[in-house]
Amino acid sequence: MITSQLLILSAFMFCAGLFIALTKKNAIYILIGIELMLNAANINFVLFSQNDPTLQGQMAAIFVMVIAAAEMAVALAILFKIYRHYQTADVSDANELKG
Amino acid sequence: MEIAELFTWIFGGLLAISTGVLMFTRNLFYAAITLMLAFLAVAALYILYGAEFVAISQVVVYVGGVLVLLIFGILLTHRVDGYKVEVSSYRVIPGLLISGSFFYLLVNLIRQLPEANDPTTSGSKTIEQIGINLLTENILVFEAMALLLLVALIGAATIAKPEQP
Repeated sequence: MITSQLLILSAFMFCAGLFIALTKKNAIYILIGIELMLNAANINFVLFSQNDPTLQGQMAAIFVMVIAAAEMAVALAILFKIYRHYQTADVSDANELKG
Repeated sequence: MEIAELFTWIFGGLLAISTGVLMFTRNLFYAAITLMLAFLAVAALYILYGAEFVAISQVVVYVGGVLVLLIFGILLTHRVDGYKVEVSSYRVIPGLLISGSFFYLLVNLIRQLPEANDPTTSGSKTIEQIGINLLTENILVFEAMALLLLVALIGAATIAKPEQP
């Protein structure tokens, strides 16, 4: 019974992450939204693997975490490069190719 | 069983509140700290649902790694001495419409799910089973993840290094 409420909670978390990634201007805030979405997916993986003795859902959650860490490192490196070039961290100001 | 349900409600409420704060705060540093609260609540939910290893990885990887990277990012890209790190948002109405309608669709989908059985995995064997899985069935994915982490770290260092004059 409580599982479906947690599914609704993770759906809310996903949509909050989507809202943040769509509406914020700052690149770090967009990364926060993406992390929220990945965490919501992880909650679903763990919830659905609780009746599975082979635990494939938890394996998927661990791999999602690894990919999130790698994505974060690369995204922040790109962000530093953008900041050094444009002197701002707002994604709406970085709008030139080879500027 | 009762006490586990109570704790699930407590940490779920904490997660919902911190997600709501994240949506509408303007201070970037507050957002990072609230994100830590959300990550810890998610780790507590993992423990309550019998995924101890995932919970420990959550605390180590997210709270210890990703969040520190985020705060370093805030410190390196903003002037933080005496200023508030404020962020502005745009396209708020279309964003609310899109994410709100997606939430409506997801809730409708969840309501159609069949009723779940009682959970059967008890916590005692989870870590053992995960270790066996990692080294037998998922060994290819495991090695690919190791390679991916190596490539990502070297790539990040290469991207972020200063340009040669």
